Amino acid sequence: MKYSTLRLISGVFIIAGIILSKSLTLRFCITIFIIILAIKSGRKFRLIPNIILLITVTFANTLSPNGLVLFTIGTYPITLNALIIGANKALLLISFIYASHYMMSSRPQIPGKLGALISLQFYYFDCLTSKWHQIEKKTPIISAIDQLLIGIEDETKNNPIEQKEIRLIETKDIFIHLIHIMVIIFLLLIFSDFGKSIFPFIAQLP
Amino acid sequence: MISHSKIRIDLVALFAACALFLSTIEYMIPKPIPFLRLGIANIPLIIALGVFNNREYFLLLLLKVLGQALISGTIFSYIILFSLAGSLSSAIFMLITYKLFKEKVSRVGISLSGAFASTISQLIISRIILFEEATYVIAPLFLFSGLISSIILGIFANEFIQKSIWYKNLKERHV
Repeated sequence: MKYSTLRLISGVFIIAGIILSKSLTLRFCITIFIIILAIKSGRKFRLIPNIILLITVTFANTLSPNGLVLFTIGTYPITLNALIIGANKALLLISFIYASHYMMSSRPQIPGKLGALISLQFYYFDCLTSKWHQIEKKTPIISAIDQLLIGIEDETKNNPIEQKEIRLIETKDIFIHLIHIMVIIFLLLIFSDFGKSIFPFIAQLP
Repeated sequence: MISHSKIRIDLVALFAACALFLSTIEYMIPKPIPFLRLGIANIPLIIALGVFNNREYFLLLLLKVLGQALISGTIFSYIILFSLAGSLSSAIFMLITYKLFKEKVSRVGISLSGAFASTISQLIISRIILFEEATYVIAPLFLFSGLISSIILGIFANEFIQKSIWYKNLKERHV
């Protein structure tokens, strides 16, 4: 088995963990874990854009008031559930983007024609999310998209996807990726009804 | 040497990645009512008309639906049915409109036909499995919002096709 396939498999478990996590605290923990994995796999992490994303998405969701009113700005109510939903969405996005960075860092090939296409789709998605921040903020939208797409095409031409070095897995790789999957399962268990019955304070967390 | 079909499949993946990227942006935008969407992830589908053959176009559609479901976390829920029905009917209508009228109809017209088909199919699914009679109450709102958003998306697609250097190069190389 190739190393990239192993990373892809553990990435699929992580994405399943993201989708299954409904609690804000759990999603926060999984997001931190995924960011650590992405950094370990050689990806850059920039704090400020992620904090801006978290804040803007969270506050944008207050446009649909929901639940307890925490405070008001003028007549505009800031509600607890809207903030939780917004933060949940932002964390889902951040975790998904870093899970994609992590999975694609070794350019895996999913078996079959459709699999190859999905691999390629995620490879390009990874390029788009990494390069989007590099575009000058005041560039008109169509020029910005042009720059992005031309940049990706040039990069792919100069560095064809097939040329990535193929690394076969070693026993320690299996062990490490099993630990990654176990961490996700552990977090899901801790935040399940079973976990809450053992650690009641978890039920108090958002 | 890289084959022509391999390049075209690469292009489908690039368009699908754009749809996935736009899905993440769409996901950040709050919805006043659940299911009500701007549909910006459909822009690659509107632009892709005339670039891909039917098979490649439906492949792009499949990747868009799967990617969107993954981003919104609805891949294992019944909501993917709405997305699939809406995207499939809209793609079929847009493709028919494009094949029938070619460049005589703008992307606004194509987008409108797609939005209309998508909304109707989603209302049918909603009538069957979710809201039953209440569907008739929400129908005008969905049709109206679909009309507005599809006009905006169509205008953007038109602008992109006219101004984008990348798209111009793409048409010269592959079509």
